[in-house]
Amino acid sequence: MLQSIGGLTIAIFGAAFAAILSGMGSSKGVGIVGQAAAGVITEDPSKFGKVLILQILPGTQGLYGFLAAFLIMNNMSPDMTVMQGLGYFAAGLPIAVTGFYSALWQARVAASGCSVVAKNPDQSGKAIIFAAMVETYAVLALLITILLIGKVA
Amino acid sequence: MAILKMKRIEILAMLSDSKSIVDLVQQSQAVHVIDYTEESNNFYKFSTGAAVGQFDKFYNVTVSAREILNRYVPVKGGLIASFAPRPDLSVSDFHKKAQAADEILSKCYGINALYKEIQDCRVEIVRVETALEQMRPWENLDIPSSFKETASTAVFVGSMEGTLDREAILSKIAELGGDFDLDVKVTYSDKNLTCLVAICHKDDAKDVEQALRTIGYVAPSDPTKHEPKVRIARLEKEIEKCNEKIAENEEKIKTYAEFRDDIAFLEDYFVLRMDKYKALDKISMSNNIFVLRGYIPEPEVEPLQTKLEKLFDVAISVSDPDFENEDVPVALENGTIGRTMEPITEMYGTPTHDDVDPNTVMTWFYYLLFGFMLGDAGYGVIMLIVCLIVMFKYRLEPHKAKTVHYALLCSIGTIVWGALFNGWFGDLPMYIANGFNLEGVMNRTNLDFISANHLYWFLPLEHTTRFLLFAFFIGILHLGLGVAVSLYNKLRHKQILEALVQDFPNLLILAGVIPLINSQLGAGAFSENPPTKFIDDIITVASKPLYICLIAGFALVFVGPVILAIKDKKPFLKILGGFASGANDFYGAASGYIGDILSYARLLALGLCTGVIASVINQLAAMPGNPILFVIFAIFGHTINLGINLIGTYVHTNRLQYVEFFSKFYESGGLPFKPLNVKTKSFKFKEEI
Repeated sequence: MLQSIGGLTIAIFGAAFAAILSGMGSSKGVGIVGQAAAGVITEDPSKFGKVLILQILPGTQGLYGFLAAFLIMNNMSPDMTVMQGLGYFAAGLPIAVTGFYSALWQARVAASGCSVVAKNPDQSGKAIIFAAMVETYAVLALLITILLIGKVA
Repeated sequence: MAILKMKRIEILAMLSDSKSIVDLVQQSQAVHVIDYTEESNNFYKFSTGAAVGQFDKFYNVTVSAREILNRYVPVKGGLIASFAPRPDLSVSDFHKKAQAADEILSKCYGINALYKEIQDCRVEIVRVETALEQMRPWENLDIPSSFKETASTAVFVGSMEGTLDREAILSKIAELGGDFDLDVKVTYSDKNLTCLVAICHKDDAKDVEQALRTIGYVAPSDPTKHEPKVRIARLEKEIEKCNEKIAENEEKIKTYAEFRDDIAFLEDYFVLRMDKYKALDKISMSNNIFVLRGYIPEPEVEPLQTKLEKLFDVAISVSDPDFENEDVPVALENGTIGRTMEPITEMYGTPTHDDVDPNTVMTWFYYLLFGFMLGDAGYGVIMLIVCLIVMFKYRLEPHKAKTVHYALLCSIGTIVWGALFNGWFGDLPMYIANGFNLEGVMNRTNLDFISANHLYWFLPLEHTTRFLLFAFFIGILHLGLGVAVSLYNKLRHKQILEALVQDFPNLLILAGVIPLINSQLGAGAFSENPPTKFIDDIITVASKPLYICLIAGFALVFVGPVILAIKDKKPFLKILGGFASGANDFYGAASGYIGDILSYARLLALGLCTGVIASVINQLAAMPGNPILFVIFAIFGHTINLGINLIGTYVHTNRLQYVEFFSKFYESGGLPFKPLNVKTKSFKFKEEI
């Protein structure tokens, strides 16, 4: 059955998954933090800059997924074998799944960070770092995805 | 790059001079005033809480007045204008303006009152609109809705739920089977509500009312005396009146715009007074004299002392603080470039007196990492241009100069890395060379000048592994610098053996990891073509000594605790226990450094992201095949890309500094030096005082 689908289509699915899942995670994450950030802004609009940084943090996973999809796309060719297609599909999985999950958790940390900004704006740097810690795992997943894409090619 | 030497200062003077002296200390901006409770009973405190509270209240009035004013008469401005210097103000002008404070304050109260009326009107409008909404269905009724009867008939005005017409209502009534005559007129009907007038003979009134109620008739809750139209007109007029009032008040508020500067001055004035009174609160005084205590950086002692002694009868004593038992604030002094890092360090925590001031040390790597992650020369050029415009347009004040210099250095780092990796708004030069023709770019018909002459180092997208390895090597250097600073700090405190067994082996390990990563992860990624081959050559030549370093490093980590235990002359069993802790350190060093180095993969992640998104933007912009549309779309897309990536880069550069770099040597947790100073927003004292 896989033969009839063809390697290219499977690789396309891989790229799509990487972009879709991490994008889903990021959009939900950015949304969660956005709500918390809006709450902070109603009290004190001058904190916009600080909460904006927090809000954008869970957005990077979406960019990573996009990057992975782009790299897979760069390597696509019509005469790809099924094994190559499956390889790209699997290579996209780390950033797809980890990106999705880490964006959600990063969003929770960042949303809590918003309350730090609200109550103690001097410490907002630390709140940002807490949220950035989660991102490490998205970065590592992207790293593996990129290395795997290199191996398949 | 240094932590300034702190001195403790005590100023003793006549009570009658207290306010003038505090004024002078405040303007010198040099003394961190502390609250010091006197042991002797002859001293007491001057409680200023009430005065501070009063100023706070006035301050809030002025702030809200200015905000209201800004809402109705917006100030023109933008990113660049926000760096404009504040106007100078001499002390005599300050006093002149301060005398008019009451007058301006009353204007502020005026603005607030006008705004309060506007808000009241808005509430009123909402209320009236609700009432109006309820009256709308009755608009076509040509009798008052309180109309009850004529000489021989009874009239029921009311409403029912749902959409009904005359026949439907009559048939519902007929179903109930009452013995009466009734006529119904439907005046209004929508999907929720039907308004009707029912009329019958007076004798049947009771039965009819009963029947109507049974089928869901409700009399109006607030019947009108006149035709509903009259009330609707009246309500509409009320809204109009409120709107007029709002417009009128807005006009009135706008006339206050000319006082905006005075109000801004007043805001600062109250902050000054508040700070001064808060400082007065910390002063202890007897019947005739007062004592002000605080900390002062050593270079500031001389000027302040001469100034005070010239103007007043004072006794000043300056002494060395006791760092063990006192919370001595920390002031930093750095050069123009090192200073740009101070806000970043402050966000993490102020150094203690035992720390090395990290600002200058971290500077170069900070801009290097920042540039690597943003990594697009085109974006760097945009940032550079903005910074240069600001710098040439205005004479910058120190704290704003810090920000602008920071951005300037970031932009230079970005340009350097961007140029090395051929990122100019992604691959914009290719589009220009091919006349914005997408096909031409895809087939690489015309190479642009930079690509044709290979004016770059290598392309990250084509050599991902090499890019990654390079990121790791930068990370190793960065970590190594962190360990080196820790080593230096230990040597400075004469902990030579600790430095040798704790920090030195880490340096060895970091050096030894380089060939390991190169062979395991990269497998000669640098060896492919000439521009990067030198890295591979160096590593190959040095690999043997570096591997020896690695082994020696781990061996030292393992025996380190034992050596320390022997040095401290611990009992024999404790020395043996050192091996266990050595094994633990061994594991910690191995896993910790792997994690730290891997963390620098974010250099690759963010670096690639900027470039790839920029290329996609170009691609999308070229799709319509029209140069003008290309420019419009590209400007829009690149602006967004720059914004998002700037924030991401800022956060992750900070993270690498805080988590990977600072953790190697930096304690933090010092008390920041917060002198009693002039915290004005809208003007600046001239340097005559």
